[in-house]
Amino acid sequence: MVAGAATTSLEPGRRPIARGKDEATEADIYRSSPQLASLLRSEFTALVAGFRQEGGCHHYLPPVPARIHGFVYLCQPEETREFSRSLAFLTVLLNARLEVPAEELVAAALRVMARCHDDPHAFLVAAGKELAGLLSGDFNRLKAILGRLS
Amino acid sequence: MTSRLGMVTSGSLEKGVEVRLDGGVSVEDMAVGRYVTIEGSRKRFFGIISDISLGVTDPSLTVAPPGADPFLSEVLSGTSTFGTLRVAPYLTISGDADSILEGPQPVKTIPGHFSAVNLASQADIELVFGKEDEKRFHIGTPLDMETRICLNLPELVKRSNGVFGKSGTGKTFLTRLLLIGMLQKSAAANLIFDMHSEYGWAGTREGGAPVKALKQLFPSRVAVFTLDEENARRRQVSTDFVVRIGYDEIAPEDIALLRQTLNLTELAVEAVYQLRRRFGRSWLQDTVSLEDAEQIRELTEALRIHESTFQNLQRGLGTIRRLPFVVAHAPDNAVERVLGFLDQGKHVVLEFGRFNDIAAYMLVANLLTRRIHDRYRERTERAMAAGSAAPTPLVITIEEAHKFLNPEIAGNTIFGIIAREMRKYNVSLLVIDQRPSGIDTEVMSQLGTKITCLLDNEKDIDSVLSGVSGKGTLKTVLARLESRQQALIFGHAVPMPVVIRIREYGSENSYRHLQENAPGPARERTEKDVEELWQ
Repeated sequence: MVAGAATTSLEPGRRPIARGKDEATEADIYRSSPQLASLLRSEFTALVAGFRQEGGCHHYLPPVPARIHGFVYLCQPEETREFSRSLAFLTVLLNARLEVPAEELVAAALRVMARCHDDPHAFLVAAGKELAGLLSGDFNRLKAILGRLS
Repeated sequence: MTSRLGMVTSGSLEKGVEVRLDGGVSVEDMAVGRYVTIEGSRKRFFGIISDISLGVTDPSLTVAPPGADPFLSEVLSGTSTFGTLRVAPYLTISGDADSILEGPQPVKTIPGHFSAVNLASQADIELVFGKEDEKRFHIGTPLDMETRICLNLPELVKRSNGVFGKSGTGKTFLTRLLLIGMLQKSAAANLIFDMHSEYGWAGTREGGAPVKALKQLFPSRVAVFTLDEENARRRQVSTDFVVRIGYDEIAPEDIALLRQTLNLTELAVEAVYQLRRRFGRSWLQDTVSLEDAEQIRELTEALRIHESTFQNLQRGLGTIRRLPFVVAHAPDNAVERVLGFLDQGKHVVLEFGRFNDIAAYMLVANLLTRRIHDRYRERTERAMAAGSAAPTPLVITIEEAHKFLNPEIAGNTIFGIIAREMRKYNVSLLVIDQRPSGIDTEVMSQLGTKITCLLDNEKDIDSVLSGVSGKGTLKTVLARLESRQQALIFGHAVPMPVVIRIREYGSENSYRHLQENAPGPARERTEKDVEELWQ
């Protein structure tokens, strides 16, 4: 699950300088300074919420991490639907140490997943109930997530 | 079909178990007094819902409640916010063969954590209360169910029983049903002191036509006695016997009972015994007719009675003498007549007609009952000596029972004695009262089965429930009864307390059902009676 994204300079520690004071549009900046495209790099963090092994979906951390140079693909709606049949991944999400608040991530993940289901409302209610169980002692956190679902 | 309500989360035997409702079950669909079954791992438990409450997992929910967002409420209901029930377990049935034979047993433990809780099904209720048969009488249905709750009447009449409830809650209808039940299903004979003429021929109904009473439904098995012939004639009631009471039948004990009602002093009651010794059986006549001042002085001096005491007594006795059914010499012996009918297996209803003031009621009820009880005692003792069968059990029904059984006089009246010595002599009571707190606690504790309609006075509720286990639970149930046609039954004749909607009474259909259920012998007897009539 994408849990964070950033565009930074290629050199670590070097901050990109703001340009384009005299340009009319954003595209004009790249036209006038074509080197920019090669100096900036976009990265995203992916949180491992589960894995597939021998055909089955598991909603907990895999025994081994993803390989270096392993290709990353976007999940297809069918895969998302299959994965979100069980809501056990919510525990992983809530307890992950991330740069973004976990509530944001959970809410975003559920919004995306709901779109893959035939009855998004029913899915969100079921997920909400699961969350209510997990956050039984912390209503404010629960309310923050539920408020971001619609 | 069982419908799941939730699961046990905590509890104790004393306070009942806490049940958390499932998300899909609304607290609004629950009702105090409803039956549930709890599926323990080895035993099934039967219990009553005794309290319903709302719970939250996080107190901040109550501090800052979420708004009216339907999605939020949908998610939260059953998870962060939930309903809980308090269930008082009453009976268990374990799976082994013995307990299946013996039927449900009182609980001695509670179900384990997370046992599933279901609404009791028809079959469960039948298992506990039994089906309608030759011993069990259908008295009503549990709340929101169509199952029949049946009372084991032979078991019921083994003890004295009580019917309580505020005025207008359906005591009379309930009692009428009970009497019909006893008439059909138990071997007991009934003697009913019918203060307001409700049980014999026809009874009144609030805002409706009169309802048929015992004599109309079971003409061959019920005899109606009356104190007020004229009233009976006007109401076109066919009576079997007109009761008259002779002065000589009234004993000092009868006066002692009426002390408060007649406004007599203690000394005046003492004087009655002296007068009885002096004048013999005609003491009442002689005392009241004594008018000459000189004679009175002589008498009071001889008996060492103060003159004002004597006047007080004369005034009181004058009230009795003015009762139209009290005559110098009774033409027939009412006690013998009552016993005669009872021996034939007939049930006797004594209507008071216009004389429904408490003095008349107490005098007659006490007088007749004392003599009938004496005869029963004699017969039972003789039967015991001879080793033969004891006389048929007799159930005496009295209204306004607190007047007879209040702590001051319960020790002296025959009703107090009957309630205490119970069925030793095969006589028991059915007391009907709206002020149970006025009844002596000792008598209350001896009542086997109590049937109570709505009561709202704290003292009355306490008195009805005194000595019952799970009192707190029943108190909630009792205070929440509807004001009509609902009753709580607990005690000897039912395996566990039960709230019922009283069976319908008063329509043609209901009469037919009641008559249909008359047992075989009674119907044969009716047919025989009809044949004899035409011979």
